[in-house]
Amino acid sequence: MSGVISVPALELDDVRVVTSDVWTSFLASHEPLEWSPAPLTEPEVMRAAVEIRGEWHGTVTLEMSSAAARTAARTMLTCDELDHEDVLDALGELVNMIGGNVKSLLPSGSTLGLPMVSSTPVRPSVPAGSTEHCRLDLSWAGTTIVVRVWSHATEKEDTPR
Amino acid sequence: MKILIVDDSRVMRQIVVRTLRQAGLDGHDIVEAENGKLGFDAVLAHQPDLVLSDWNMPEMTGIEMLHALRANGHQVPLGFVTSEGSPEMVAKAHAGGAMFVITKPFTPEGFRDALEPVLV
Repeated sequence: MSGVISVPALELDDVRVVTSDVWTSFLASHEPLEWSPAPLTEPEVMRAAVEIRGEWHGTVTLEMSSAAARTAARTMLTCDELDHEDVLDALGELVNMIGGNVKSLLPSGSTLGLPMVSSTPVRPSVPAGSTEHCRLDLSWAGTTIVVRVWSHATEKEDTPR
Repeated sequence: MKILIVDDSRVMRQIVVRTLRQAGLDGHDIVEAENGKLGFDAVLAHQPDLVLSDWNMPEMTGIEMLHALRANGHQVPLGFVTSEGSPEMVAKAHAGGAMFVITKPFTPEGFRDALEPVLV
């Protein structure tokens, strides 16, 4: 029977701290990250995802407008001339850092995949049956940034912890 | 001194170079490689004095590169710059012969603390 393994000991605040640390280190020179409940309504949204496999199996995703993604890449590279690859690279590196630090909060033995980045309407792979474990809606560069942790469905029974 | 930076992200390689400068550790020759396999080849070709490597990369990971270097008799000092700083991975890095692990996100101060003993 399939089920969803709960994320052991991973709280929304953990994800908030991890995300805040990444932004403070690499993006705060443009603008600080702020809490915002506003939904992401921009027409062009880019999504980055990184998978974590182990005792818990899930995905961390990062979503922002294409304009915010370009601003992030410009800020990280401290350079105005960018190509699309730079934007994909920057977004992938951001989700890689958030995912890597989330992984560090999980039981040992987990592995981190390589980041994947896509633009609407193509979605990064969050398999059917996945459930949203937690979601952060943040504001940066005039638009909303969404960070989510998804638990994947597994063939195991739920394991209460 | 020559420093080899191995990371599949061009953005992160650029940030590492900038952070070295912000940490006051500039003035070194920088060589870059995009994954562990190219990093291994770059060690042979450029004989760097220090390697700063990401862990999770396509083709060959950072720890695989380190194992390959040591298995081939290369003792170049190597430190990891990685988003995965769990105690388990730090132990694995040190067991493989790495000098330090810097966790992303990092600060110039963190770079200085880790690298100064190697670069002076």
